[in-house]
Amino acid sequence: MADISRTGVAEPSAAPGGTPQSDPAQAAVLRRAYRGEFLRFVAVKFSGALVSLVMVVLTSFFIFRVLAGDPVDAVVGDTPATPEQVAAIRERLGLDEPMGVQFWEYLRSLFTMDWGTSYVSDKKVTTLLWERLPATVLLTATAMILAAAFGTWVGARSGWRRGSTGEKVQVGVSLTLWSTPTFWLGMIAIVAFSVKLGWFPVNGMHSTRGVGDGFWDEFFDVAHHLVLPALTMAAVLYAQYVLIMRTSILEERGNDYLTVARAKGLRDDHVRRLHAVPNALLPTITLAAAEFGTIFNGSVLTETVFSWPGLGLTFYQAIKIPDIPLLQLLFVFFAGTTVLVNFLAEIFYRFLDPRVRRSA
Amino acid sequence: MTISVAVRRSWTSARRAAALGAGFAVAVALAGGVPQASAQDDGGKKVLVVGKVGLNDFEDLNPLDSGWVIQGEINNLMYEPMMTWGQKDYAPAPGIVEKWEFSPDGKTWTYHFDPKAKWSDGKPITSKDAKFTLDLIKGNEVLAGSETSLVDPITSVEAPDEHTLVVTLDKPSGIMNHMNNFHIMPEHVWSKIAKPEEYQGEPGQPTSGPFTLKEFRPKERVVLEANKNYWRKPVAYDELVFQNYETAEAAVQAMQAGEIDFLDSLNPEQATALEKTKGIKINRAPSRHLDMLEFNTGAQTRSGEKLGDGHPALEDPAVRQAIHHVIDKDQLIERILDGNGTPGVGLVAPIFPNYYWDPGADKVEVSAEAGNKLLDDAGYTQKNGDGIRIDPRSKRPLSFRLLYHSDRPAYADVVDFLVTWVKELGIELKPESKESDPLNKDGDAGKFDITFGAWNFGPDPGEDYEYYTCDRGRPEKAEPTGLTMAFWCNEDFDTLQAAEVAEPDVTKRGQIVKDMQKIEYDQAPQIVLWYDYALEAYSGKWTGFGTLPSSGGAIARQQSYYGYAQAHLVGGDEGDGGDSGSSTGVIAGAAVAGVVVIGGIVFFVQRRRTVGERE
Repeated sequence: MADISRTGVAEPSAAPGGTPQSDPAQAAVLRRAYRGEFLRFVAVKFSGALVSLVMVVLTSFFIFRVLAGDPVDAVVGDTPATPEQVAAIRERLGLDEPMGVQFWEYLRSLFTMDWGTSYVSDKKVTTLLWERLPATVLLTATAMILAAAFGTWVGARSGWRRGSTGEKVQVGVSLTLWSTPTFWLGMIAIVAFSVKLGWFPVNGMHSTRGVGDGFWDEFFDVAHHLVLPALTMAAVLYAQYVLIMRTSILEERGNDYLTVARAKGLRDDHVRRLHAVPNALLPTITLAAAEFGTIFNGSVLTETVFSWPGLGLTFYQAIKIPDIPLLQLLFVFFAGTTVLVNFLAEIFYRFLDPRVRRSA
Repeated sequence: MTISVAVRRSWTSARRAAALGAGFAVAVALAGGVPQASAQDDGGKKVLVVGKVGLNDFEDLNPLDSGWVIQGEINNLMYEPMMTWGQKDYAPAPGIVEKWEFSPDGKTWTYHFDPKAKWSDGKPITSKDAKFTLDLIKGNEVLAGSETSLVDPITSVEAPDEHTLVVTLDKPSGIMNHMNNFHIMPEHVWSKIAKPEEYQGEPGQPTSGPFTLKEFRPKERVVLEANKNYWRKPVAYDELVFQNYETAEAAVQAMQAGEIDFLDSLNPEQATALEKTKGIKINRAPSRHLDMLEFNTGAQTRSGEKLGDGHPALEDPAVRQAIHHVIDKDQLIERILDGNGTPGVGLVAPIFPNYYWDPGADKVEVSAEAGNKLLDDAGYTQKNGDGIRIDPRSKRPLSFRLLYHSDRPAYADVVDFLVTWVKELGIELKPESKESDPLNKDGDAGKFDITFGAWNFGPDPGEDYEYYTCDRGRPEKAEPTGLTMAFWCNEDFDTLQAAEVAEPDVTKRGQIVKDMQKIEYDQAPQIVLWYDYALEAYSGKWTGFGTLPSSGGAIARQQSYYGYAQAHLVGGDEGDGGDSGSSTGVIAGAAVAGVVVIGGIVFFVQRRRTVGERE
């Protein structure tokens, strides 16, 4: 902490002519300097985000047109179609147009915000997105909160007791979970907790036989279905929080201020919770902020294994067709929200940690 | 001091961990307990839950445009067709129409409607509804595309009274005997729909069949409700739920967990696994599905321009028939299907007794000797250094590419047998594995020698056999086509096909179809390997599923409603299953966990309050 106060372009003590607190004119200069530097920072980050978004938008047009599969098959169904019917469908879907024309139409759709209609339904793809988004947010937000809360707690305790059996076990468990494929973990969870023990539904978001019409019936039904996918997703994310928090705590452990706190007679538990953990939290917050950007993306694997009707499952279903308008929108939405949230996180982080602000 | 801090720390941690653990346990128990109990008592409703893999293929339930088999299956449960497939033998049987007749020239058909027939909203179903629907389809490009064989020959539709419909054709058509399982729509509702081709399937719409639509979540679930006004015998339960599963494995697990009551399209391993699960029964029954080998019999356009790159020797029926002689279908069924199938003959499966042709004494004998003799007699006597016969016309060795689907494990097993068997003929097979999509594209472009194919034969032979006519097998343009199976062309076959499509008499039509099968069997544009059994699992709580045919057939994927509509709970009319004991246990468990967690919270709060004193 002491080092930090000696660095930075606008360090008050470096200014000649006394302390800034005693000179309002000097303080105003410093505020302007801060503001200018902050605006430059925002502009740079915003331009970077904008370039990323443009790349995403361009990529999303081409990437799904090289996929195997013919959307006409999905429209036709199990019944083979005559060449005339196939041609009519191609024309209706706009697939008979040259690539350049299709690209122009795509760019036009970006400006009009009309992303088109799904190939297999007559619904606007934006409607499909909004229908499936809540399920994804529910699943990923629950998993992230569980992982961050539990992972941070366990990581802090593990780092505090370095060399203990508990720490070794936690690190081992975390590394194992981190290395485990999500789909495999999900399938094992289903076999163990749904098929064998019968504690949870196999998949889906609602009971197959339905529940009562009341809010609480619905609430508990969804909660029941949420447990396994959320825990599966959280188990993999959790490992990152444990390992990062553990490392961070290890770095804090030897600091003088903790020795002082102990010398004052504080319990070891309090020293950890009230002194060490707050100072060690910043890397964890960075991680959480970065992951928050993916909250709208869902998890294609988790949602597919558990048939959770969110955007990840929608993406998987669309890619099998391929339903290009829907894939384009989802791709831009996934990447766009990630870029946007990361951009906001960087700004937020600057306020949270003065070291970032002053070293920028 | 140090010791006491360590002890206290350990004690505090243990308490806190216990409290957290208890909190999580109760959250899980509460979340898990309540819906379990709710699902079981659920107002005493009787609900049949069917698991489906493939429910996510479509996003609408338009009864006039069912491109997918499952889509048609669900629509068949809501809409009674004009004529249906008889449960005894798939012969055309009364639906909304109780009787019908045709003029001697087969061009005028008169249908008499059942006066008892009514929509689920209580209004009568009349011939005017049928006229409205036929006119609607004929005038709508999208809807007509799904029913070309039915509506193309129609020149006029008249409804002289509420119970009579007269349809006039420009040429005779045997299809009018069943009208392709055609559904009619209520004029009083559908006349107000601006774009009927965009109809998605709306709950509460009047239907004519045993169910109405209650809920439709595309790609997720479909809930049908028993039609209380059904003019035939109403079903013996309240709701029929179709639940989507992304994979067959997930559906099997749901069946094992008791979440669903019925599951179809199982493979032998899945059926065996489910059979071992307590409370689950298996229906193994002949089906209309078959697997076959397709030959590229010489892909070319009508003007003789070559298509693709098929081996010229396969244009010779002798080569194809020689291969037929070494395929031991019984062994394939035993080894690969675990006995769940019957040996293949033609496109028509034995469950269609009016059309199935039994080769009898003409059955191709499994004999490498007979195959070799055929090849010798046809002039394939020369062999290269590897012992492979040489085609005397193209001078190429009889070395054929065998395309098979990498995503269908059974085909890979068949390939192993085939490669060994045909070697005895001095023929070489070079297996090439591809995913279905690129493989089908190669097939459409004629870029193959031999490939695998599968088919669900429909109850009407007309449309299926179109795929083997010269019109389809010899396309006009040198472009890929998905409308032929083997690029085959045989004029005798074509003559019979034209005759059977036009024949209004069911018995005479059956004989023509049998003659067509004989030609195909002799010429071998394809070799049907087997008709595999439908393997379906159902909960022991349910019984009475209506098979088609009734003597033993599949329950699901029927082109009628018998399967689910005739089911009922074992013992009659008790509510949806599920033992209340387990429900009570879960609730009791949740209560106990609740007590534990509340205790944990109280303890934790108390510790926080007294922390200063203890410091």
